Amino acid sequence: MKDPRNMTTGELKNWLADRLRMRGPASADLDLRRDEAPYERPLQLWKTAEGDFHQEFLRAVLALVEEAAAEPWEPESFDQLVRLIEAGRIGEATNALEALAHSRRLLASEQGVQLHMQALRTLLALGWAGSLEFWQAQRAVVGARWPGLIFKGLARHSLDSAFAQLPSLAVDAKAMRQILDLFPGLMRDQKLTLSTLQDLSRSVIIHLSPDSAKFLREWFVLRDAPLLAAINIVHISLKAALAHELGDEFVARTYDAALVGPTERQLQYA
Amino acid sequence: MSFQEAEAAEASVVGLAALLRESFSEPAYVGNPYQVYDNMDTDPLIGVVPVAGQPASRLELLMGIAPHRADQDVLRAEALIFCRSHLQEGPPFPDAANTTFGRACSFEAMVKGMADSDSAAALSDARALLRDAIDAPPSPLRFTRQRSDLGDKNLSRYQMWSFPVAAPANPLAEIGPARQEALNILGLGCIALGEEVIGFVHRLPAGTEAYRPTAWDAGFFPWWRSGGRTFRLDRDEYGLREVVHDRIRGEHLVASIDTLA
Repeated sequence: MKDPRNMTTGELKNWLADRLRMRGPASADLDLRRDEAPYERPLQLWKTAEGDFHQEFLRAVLALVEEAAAEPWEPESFDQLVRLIEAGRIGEATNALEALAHSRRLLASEQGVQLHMQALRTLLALGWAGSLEFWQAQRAVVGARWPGLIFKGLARHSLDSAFAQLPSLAVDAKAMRQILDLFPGLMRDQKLTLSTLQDLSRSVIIHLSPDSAKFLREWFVLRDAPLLAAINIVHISLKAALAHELGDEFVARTYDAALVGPTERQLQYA
Repeated sequence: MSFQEAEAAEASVVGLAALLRESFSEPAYVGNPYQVYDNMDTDPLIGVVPVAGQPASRLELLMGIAPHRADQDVLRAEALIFCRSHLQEGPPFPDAANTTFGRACSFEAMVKGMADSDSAAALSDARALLRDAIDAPPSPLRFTRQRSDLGDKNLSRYQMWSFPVAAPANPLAEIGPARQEALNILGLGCIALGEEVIGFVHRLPAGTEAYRPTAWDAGFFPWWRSGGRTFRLDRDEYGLREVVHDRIRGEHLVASIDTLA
């Protein structure tokens, strides 16, 4: 097999396309035992590319993005193309991907929603943020199947906004799981502590569906940091109530759980 | 039972075995540069001519690559593609459903399994998730946490190579907790120096079979030997029994995932 560094522009583009789509001899040497993904060899080439070859490689990648938009690839193949862009941090592809996201061209194909998600995922990975309005608009397109992506897009702008949307994004346990999968990365990227996430979660948990709330609670319990109920309803003692009614001087009492049963809301928390 | 016998059975493929041998030579594998070819040439599970219910034969390989005899690179590529289309054709491993299997792989290999094409997670998200799971501090909940966080994630990109565990209560006893000894006994010459290696044990989901690997499963992997056992990296000696099976998800783990130090 000819060394891709010695290929013409057309040959390089064809080799890349075949490699990423796992077609023919270009992908034959994939090391299955090492779980080598098709994008890895091109990634190695990109990382060491210099001068003309760097430009040729970039041109080929951008041309493939255009090609994949005009005649959509299979999701598995397009995934490899955008994983190459993501892992290689090929920021020059941002404009092309952004144009795809705004135009929603990928949605025209049968599996277009998945391709659209992959483009959005890659944009976020490249550091592109979009706008709050953009991510709100994307909810109708990919939010049902990939709520985590919307949550991540919103969180890029405002954690409060993202958590405020949590009840409507995490509609069931599966959706909650997908969002929870992003928490470790979120903590790393935004330098968040577990207690910050606890505070944010505590503020919305009563609005979550029972399944989602259960998953969220479990996530914290498994990190030995249970979400303790925030008691914001003050129960006065019987003695204080009587004193108040009888006109005696009101004396604030400490909450005594033994005197009052938990409210329905507290039971939901527990 | 060799390629030469296959050539003797079909005149149109005469001369291909020598070409195949050269195309598969790997000078960097100093023990035997022709090891990959020799594996395909001598694996007793592979027959000379096609037999129903048996792994693809050597003759089928030679006939498949015959149109490409003029170009050694393409010949080699087509042979590897042939291998890839004949995975898991060896004899089934008995009682796989009731067997606990162990596996060691690189951290990055697992990340690639997790970040599949249907995942909204960036590669960095998948890495963070796996790192979070593996670095979870020792606690009675550690394994529950790992299985919960990785439950619906694929733990490899392609088929898995595993070894049966003798005592599930002591799952990594066969390979030990040390990275280098694990690589040695499992014959994992594909893992580079410095790559993080993780080990885990699992059961197969219902309906998933395990098979004794053939040379087609091994493909271009010179550290493999036929016979159903791994081959040590550090000396000429067989290691553990081995199988291939479809990839599993985190929900099939039966003990915690750990980095092999």
